[in-house]
Amino acid sequence: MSEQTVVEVKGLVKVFKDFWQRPKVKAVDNLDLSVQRGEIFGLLGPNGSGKSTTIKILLGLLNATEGDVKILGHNPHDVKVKEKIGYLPEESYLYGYLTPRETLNFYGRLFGLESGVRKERISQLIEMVGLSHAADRAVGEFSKGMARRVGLAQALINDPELIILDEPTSGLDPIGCRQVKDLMLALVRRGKSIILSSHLLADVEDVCDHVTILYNGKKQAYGRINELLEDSDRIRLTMPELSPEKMKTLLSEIKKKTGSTPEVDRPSMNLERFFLEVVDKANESAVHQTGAVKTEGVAEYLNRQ
Amino acid sequence: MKKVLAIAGLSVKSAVRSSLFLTLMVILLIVTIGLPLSVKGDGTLNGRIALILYYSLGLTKIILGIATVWVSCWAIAWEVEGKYIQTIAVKPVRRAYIWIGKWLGILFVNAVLIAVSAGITYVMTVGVLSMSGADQKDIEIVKDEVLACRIRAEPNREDISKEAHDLADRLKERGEFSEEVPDDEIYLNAYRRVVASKATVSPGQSKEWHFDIRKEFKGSSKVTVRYNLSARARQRNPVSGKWVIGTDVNPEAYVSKINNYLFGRHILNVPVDILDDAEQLIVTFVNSDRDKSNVAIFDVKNEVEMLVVSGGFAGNYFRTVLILFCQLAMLAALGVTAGSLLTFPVASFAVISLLMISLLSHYFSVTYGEDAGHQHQGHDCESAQKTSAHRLTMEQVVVRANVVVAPAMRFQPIDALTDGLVVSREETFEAILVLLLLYPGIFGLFGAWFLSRRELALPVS
Repeated sequence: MSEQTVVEVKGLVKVFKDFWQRPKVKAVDNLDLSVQRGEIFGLLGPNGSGKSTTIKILLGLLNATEGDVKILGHNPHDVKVKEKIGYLPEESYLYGYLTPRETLNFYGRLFGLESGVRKERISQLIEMVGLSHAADRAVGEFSKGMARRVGLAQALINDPELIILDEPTSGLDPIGCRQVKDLMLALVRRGKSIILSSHLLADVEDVCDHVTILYNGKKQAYGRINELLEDSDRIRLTMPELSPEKMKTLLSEIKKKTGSTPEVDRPSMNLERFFLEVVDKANESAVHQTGAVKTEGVAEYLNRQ
Repeated sequence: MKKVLAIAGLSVKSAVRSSLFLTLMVILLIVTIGLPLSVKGDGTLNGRIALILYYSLGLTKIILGIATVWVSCWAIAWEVEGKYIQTIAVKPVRRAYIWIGKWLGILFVNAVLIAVSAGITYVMTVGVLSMSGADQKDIEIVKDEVLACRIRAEPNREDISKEAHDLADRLKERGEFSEEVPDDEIYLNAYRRVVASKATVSPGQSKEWHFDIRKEFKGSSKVTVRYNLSARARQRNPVSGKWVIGTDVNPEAYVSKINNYLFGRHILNVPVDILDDAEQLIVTFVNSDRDKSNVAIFDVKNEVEMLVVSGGFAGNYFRTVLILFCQLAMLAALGVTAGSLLTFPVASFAVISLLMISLLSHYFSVTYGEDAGHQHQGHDCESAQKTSAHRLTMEQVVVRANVVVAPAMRFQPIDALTDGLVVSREETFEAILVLLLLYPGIFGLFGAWFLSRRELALPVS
């Protein structure tokens, strides 16, 4: 395992057994994975394809039936290695009786962070996930999306080297989704590595460098996103608006050179971008907000080199 | 340690912010304030105060015991079932720390609840006494007998095994038992007869009891002798006679006559100064002549006891409460361990079943021990324990189980406290060692092992 490899999985098999230890389900079947430092690695697949099971084996929450798993060069059960990992489970699993501040303080203490460091990081993270106005309300009163933001903050409290996010945008509004994706990109620019498990293809496409597609516990496809999606038989040209005469001339020229008529369409803004612009405008006039608010940027301590 | 304290703090917050804590607090307040106001006892102030203490502390122990088993089983099982543990187990925290943190959290909550409950009980007990309007004499009796802290000493025992063997031989010769009856059974029967004969004093006869005067007895503010006798029921006459109390230096320091005595437990005051230079306290009962008295039958277990005041009630009360806390700590450890292995309701049923089996095992063991003569005045009767094959099997099962249980079950501080007997520092220290460290340590090892082996993210079926 090279220094650049943060996760290496070889021949991983996970069989769930029943009470009498009889094999029940083969959730992961002979899976090989390799995640490199500084990349966003996507684990794609429909429900029940083995994504969460693989992640839980990486985190030592489940034991592999067969195969070899190394995370940051260590066994997943090694306590020491967990200091460098941040994890957001598929549900946030937060204690409803704690406030976001208390929640982050608790997890910060589990990482052995000093009081001053915890205080600084907590206020930055709460600001980053847009919950400053709700920092002292019990998490049990939160909407799913707000709780998800707290969950994301707890996964970053230790400034981890490797961040494992299981369906991080689940329950988030489009603003939250965009923020999470921007955050992932910002973290990767700082040299952190991210494993993103999702069945939201647009999210994966937006941010991931490499993806593995799982189905029935088996790897069905693997590669760089742009290589996997590239249609090597076709190309696309984008240019400023042309007059009808110039367009006609251009098309006839292309037809003359290539022998085929090109398709012409007008690029449109995607819905996510349109929505964010609408919200930005509304935000400028808003006075009071009870839910999560749109924020810019990343917690300062996560930006430090 | 910081990580353990973080988990403990989380458990405390979880408890304090739940309705269970508030409910428990209200129930304990009702028990500790309501009971003293409603208890009447046996009509004496002494009895009332003893009952207030016994019921208030006893109920506190039962209520907190049940709550402790419930909450401790739930503590980790709920974390696993609710998947909350997934966010803790992926942090750099050893699984053992999770166990210790949960246990310490429950201990802290128990400490608060028991301190509040015991504090109120103490105030109510003293309040009922001072507001009872009773005579000063009755109040003094309560202070001497219930709100006291006395060391109980038993008299030196003579070895009656030879006498029992001789009697067993004579019984066999006389053919009182058929040939099928094993020798051990005959010996046990003979042994019991000897013990019974030693506990009776016929008219015109006397009996002596010798107590070693230990170093801590000297300088005591008050020393008494308590006896427990009754007149033989077959004859109508009550018992009359005299008690002579003295020492090896001064054999007749104090004489007290009793007349027309039928039954009951009484106290004789011992002049404390006679103990100073002596090594033994000698207590003699002299029964009057046949025409004036009856056969005096002493209680086999507690015929005559020496009670020596040693310290104050407040300290004794504190030690009692401390032992109760240790007992709850052991229960909490058992519960957290069960919750580390099993799901919530299963864990609590498993712990309750285990406790029932332990109680039964202890009960059978004590009962069998008494039956076999183990506790007959503390006499040596090893051979009496060798009984028939049936009993041997029973003994093997019960006594072996009790070996594990007995060290934890033998602490009964409420009984001692309400009887005005000392709950010693040694006993308290031993309770801390056994109930707070040894047993929880063993349970903790199992709990941490279960947790470290357990897959914490299995799909819920």
